Amino acid sequence: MEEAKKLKTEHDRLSRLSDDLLCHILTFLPIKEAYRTSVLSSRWISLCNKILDLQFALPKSKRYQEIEYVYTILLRRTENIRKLTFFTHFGCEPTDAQLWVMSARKLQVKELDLDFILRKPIVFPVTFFMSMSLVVLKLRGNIKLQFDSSIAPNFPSLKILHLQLLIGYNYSDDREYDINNFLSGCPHLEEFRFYDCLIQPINISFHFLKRLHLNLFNPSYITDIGPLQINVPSLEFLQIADCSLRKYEFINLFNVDRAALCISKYSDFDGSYKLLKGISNVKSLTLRADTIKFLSKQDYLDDLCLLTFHNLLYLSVEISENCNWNMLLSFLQNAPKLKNLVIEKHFKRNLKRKEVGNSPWKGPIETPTCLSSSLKTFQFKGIQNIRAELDFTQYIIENSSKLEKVKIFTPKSKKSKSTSSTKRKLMQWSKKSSLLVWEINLF
Amino acid sequence: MAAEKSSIKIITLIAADGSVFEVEPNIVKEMKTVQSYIDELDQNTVSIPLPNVFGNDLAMIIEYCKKHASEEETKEAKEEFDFEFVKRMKSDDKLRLLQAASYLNMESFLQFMAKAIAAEIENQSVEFVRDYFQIESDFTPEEEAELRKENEWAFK
Repeated sequence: MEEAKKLKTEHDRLSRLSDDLLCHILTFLPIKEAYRTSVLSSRWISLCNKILDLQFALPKSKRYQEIEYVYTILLRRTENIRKLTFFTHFGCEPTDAQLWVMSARKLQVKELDLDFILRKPIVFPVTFFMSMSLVVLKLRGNIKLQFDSSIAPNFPSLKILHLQLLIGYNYSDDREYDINNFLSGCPHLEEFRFYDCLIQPINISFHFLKRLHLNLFNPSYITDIGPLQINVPSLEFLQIADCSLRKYEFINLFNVDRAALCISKYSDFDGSYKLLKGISNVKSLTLRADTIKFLSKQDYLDDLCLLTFHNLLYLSVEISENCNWNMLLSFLQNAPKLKNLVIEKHFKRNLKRKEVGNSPWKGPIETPTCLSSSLKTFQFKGIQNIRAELDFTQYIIENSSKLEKVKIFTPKSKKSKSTSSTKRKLMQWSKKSSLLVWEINLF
Repeated sequence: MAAEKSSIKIITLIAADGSVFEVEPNIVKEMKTVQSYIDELDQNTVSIPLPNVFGNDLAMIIEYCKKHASEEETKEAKEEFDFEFVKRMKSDDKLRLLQAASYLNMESFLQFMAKAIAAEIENQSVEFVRDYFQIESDFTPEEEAELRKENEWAFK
């Protein structure tokens, strides 16, 4: 009796799961499976038409029957959709994609995430570029943004915009679109991710922009490429990968908190230097190998000494085989509050380790402030039994009085005993900090 | 006002069955229902009754929050924890915790539970799902056959 009563309450409790919660569960099922639940009971018939987030991943196919259900679902829908995702490489025709995008507009989608690679580029209808509801718009693949200057794009609610349109796919001059016109229609943008190789001048000027990811390429046959102007007073996160010949000018970067740079503009030291100076308030900085290589050029070293990163707490540098250790040291000298230092070395396994090319380590006259007062963790991934690398590490260990943790990743070596000798060498140094804990990993 | 808020050291949560949990403010940050309660008050200690959550469930939720609020734990350790956390739960626990998460207005925990439940019914038969949610079908066999036909594409 008691048991039966318990079962009864259990049953009531479960049937009380609200439609919203059930829909929430359905969101995490593949879409066809979610629609199978419409045969469970009368309550469930309409439930799947209320799922907030719909995701269509369409396999490569030529048969219309296989995508017909996308139309069925979108036509049945009367409730607004929160997030709509399409992913397909050769799974539908451009006309299908156009129709779906138009129903997305009708259903007042807030987040639209499209990744289309189709036989021919998709051209969106003009009305696509005017949307009151869109908050997030992510476009990837061979989508053609075609609109002339008579159209003023209007996305008053848009906060996140990703444009990663396919490069090198059917590349022709008509692929160029007016990016500045597009951007001027998004006054409230907070995140912008942009991968492209346009040749026109680009002006990124947003009052509210917080996160900016740029990945700029160069169309190989063009040298006359417009400058990039960036004015972003609210920016907090900046990530740039740039191998174009484009000149750039950044202003108002004083709020940037985190930055990751991968720049190899040998032609434009001035621009890169100004960029580094512009972000000198950062707390976290990641420098990729190309950037380090570029900054390591002997002629530039003196200029770098003038840069000070007063607030830098975390520095991660990626080095290639030949690293200018003195340049790295000058970075430490100019980062008085640094707490965490990460070095990551890229090397080819099974190649004989090289001593050559490494500039010899010279201990500095003055110990960097961060070593004596703030450095707590040091990580070196990819250290080998190479003189300069060991010398640098030794210097850090022997001079950092607050160091708490040293984490080392050293490659396994089949035949030689160099791993264990690396380890032995590391451990023998006298450490300055009594708190220091070692962690040595082989990989 | 800000100073008064930060002076709260311990928050007492009282579950439906009367069991009492004392937690630090950073643990309840994700529980928006609790947070809005705290924000309205300006005293040093707060005790909050949660009549829709049972003690066992609240204990589990607090365990989850502690792990995820910790700055020392790595992302991998948190993922490992999530995996084990779901593994030791029965289906009923998940459904109850989903409701609790909804009541406490905990966005990421709600997602986490919904995902865990979806994983259980994924690739299962209609009968299994009925059983799972304890649904009694109110269709005649003919009606159900008709519906299945209408949604044939979904069963392919």
